[in-house]
Amino acid sequence: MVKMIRIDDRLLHGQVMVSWIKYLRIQGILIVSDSVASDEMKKMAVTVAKPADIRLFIKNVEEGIAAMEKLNGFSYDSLVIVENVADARRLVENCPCLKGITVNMGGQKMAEGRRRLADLVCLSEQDIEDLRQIEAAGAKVEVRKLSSETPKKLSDIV
Amino acid sequence: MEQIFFASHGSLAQAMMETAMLIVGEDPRVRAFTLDQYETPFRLADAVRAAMTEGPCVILCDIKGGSVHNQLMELSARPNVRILTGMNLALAASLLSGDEDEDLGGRCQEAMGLGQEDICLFDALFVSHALAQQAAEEETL
Repeated sequence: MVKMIRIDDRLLHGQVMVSWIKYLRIQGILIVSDSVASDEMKKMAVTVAKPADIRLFIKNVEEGIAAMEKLNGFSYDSLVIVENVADARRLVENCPCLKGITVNMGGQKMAEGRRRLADLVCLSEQDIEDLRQIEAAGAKVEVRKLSSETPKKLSDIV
Repeated sequence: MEQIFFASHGSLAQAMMETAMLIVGEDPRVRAFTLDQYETPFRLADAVRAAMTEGPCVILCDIKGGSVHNQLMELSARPNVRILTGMNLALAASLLSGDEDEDLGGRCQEAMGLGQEDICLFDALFVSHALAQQAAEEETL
């Protein structure tokens, strides 16, 4: 089953590997990212960093949508990681099996058109609208960097 | 409560402790002892002894056989004390994120294994091999 979608522009990194893998008790990770899926060097960098006992899949958004039901049907639990809010919205809106899923806002760096709403979370107006649409589609949005923290709701930060 | 101590020459122990907590969150069990704080390894070891409670204690040392480790080594004969040498971030983060309900000896073993596995050499030769194998080894979904 897919346990959670994490939005984190650092994708697979220390906080995910140490904090979230243990907390969610997952054995699979699907990275859904057009930029990583099309770049062999980036794919390799992600692959060498993964823990040995985790199965890692890397797909672009279109392939990710197509593969989601299969991943959700596996006997083990998985985490899906996306780079940005727009990609998370596409997954939630196009994958019926993700209904009711928790969408964890882990981090978005500062960029033009974004403002800082929480530690490590900088969002544009479009990002906020996308998160609202994710909730409207029946998913639960939470803001939390580490699993040990208390999750905040979208309404707590916008 | 169990205790997790970081001990080192220079300020490595303090920085390692703070960096590990960036990854896994704040942890009330930790304390750092460095040779910046204490003039000699003997004083550092005295401070570690004084800080220890009755409960289990794990001490992460910077380097095996260094003067800090040498001074602390005798503590590992105590039934409740374990020393892990060659501290690195993978080891420290694993130890701090372990489930406190599980056996501490087992958690130390797991942390040690992850710390050892984390030491790798990446260079152009590695990259060329890895890229060549990538397509063949990619997980299908």
